[in-house]
Amino acid sequence: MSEIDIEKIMDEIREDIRRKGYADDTPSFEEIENPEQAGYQYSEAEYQAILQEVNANYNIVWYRELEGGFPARFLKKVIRKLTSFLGVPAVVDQSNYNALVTREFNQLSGYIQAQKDELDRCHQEIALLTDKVEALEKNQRNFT
Amino acid sequence: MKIIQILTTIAYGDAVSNDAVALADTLQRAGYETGIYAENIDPRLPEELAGKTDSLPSLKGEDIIIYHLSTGSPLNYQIAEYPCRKLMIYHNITPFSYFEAYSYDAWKLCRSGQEGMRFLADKVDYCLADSEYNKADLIKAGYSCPIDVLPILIPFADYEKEPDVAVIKKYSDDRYVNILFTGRIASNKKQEDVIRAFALYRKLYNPRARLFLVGSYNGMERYCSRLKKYVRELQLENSVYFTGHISFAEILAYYRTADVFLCMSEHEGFCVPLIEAMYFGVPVIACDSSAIGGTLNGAGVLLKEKNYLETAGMIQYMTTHPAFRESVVKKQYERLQDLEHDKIEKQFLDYLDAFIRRRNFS
Repeated sequence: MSEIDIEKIMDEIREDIRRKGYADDTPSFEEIENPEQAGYQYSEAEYQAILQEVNANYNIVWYRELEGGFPARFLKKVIRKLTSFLGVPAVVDQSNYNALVTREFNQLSGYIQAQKDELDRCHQEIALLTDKVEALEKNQRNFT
Repeated sequence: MKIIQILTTIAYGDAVSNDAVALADTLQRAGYETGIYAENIDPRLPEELAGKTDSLPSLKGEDIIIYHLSTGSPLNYQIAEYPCRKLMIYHNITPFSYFEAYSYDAWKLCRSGQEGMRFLADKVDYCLADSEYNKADLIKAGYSCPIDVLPILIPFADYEKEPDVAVIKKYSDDRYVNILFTGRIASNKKQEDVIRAFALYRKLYNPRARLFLVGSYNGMERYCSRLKKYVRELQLENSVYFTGHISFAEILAYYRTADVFLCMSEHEGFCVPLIEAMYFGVPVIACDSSAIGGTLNGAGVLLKEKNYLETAGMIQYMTTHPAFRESVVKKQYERLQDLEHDKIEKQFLDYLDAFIRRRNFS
């Protein structure tokens, strides 16, 4: 099988781009603000995905596997023991606070869903009433 | 003599896990007493497939651990303490700088993975690297033990499973050009560059085109949000599809509907999706970086520089020159022959045999 000369084809492509005057005017990704720093657009799917993460991770684990060789792990264990009287209550407080915020988010999710259902119901009712009004108007026109 | 494979996480559909499962099968058929042990086990996997690392059998000097290194984990340190011989399969660890803006967890895992990888430099007896690129990485980190290159063992038979009919029906035979990239949504894979090249292709050459970004964005939600914002900015909401995590049958279906596989990733230790695309006869266009050139090994179209206009031009060329497309696909099939399951399996057993013999001589 003959070898494919990619470079030759690329030269052809470059020449075609030059001849047609094509230019890359697309905004670069760097120009796009990280949504974390920018104002959010509400997305139901994203909200639910994040809510799942929040529910899964609100509880902060204080006791973790220590990494490193034996001396490093030993040292880290000693430091953990010595600082636990400070660290553990702070982590527990933080977890309790996170649990409250998570419950609040779940409440909000329920509220959004309820509002959505209510909105759907209203839309259906409006559609039904519109049909009725149109039918009545039609009847009235026929009558007169 | 026992040969035990250890990895941090064994998960459904992940390349490292698939490699471990395929190797376990090979070892079992070769008559070795073997098993897979992992710190985290995906509950969707059959129970008998792997055990937890804390239930490892007792190991003696003649036994062998095959450790798959691909991320940060306490295992990277614990491995050194097992009283047996250690063979490490290095799948590469993504440079942590890629995750700085998006995920502290990924950043931390990769950073600790790289520390662990350096820690193990003088503690393993032998290494297998997925690619020459990975081998060079090990040497750079100070590994002085013997290192061989062994591509990932890919169970090609799985690709013959039934694809999802609904996906094929939805996106086939409508004269649209389907461009595909598969792989986790992750900042090292540079999905933004794929989107940018696609935007130019659609604008300058063919508005009847779709881009499928197939892969989970779990843990990379910030990056994914930014990508979606980029897509909105480019007014491509109706032509760029983020599938998220999907079933294997659906992945197969996307390969079956694809006209071009476009990869602009900046860091890959091997890049299994390139092989998958080749298997499904989808012509690959990829930018040369990390292990990508080595995995393609002359197949596909390897772009030396990242130029979005030229990439768009190449997509157009590929989709409008059937003879060229055919020759690219043919060359890809030839490349696949080097990676045939039986060949890699034999190579693995030969390397393993040589490793066992080295001990017997010493």
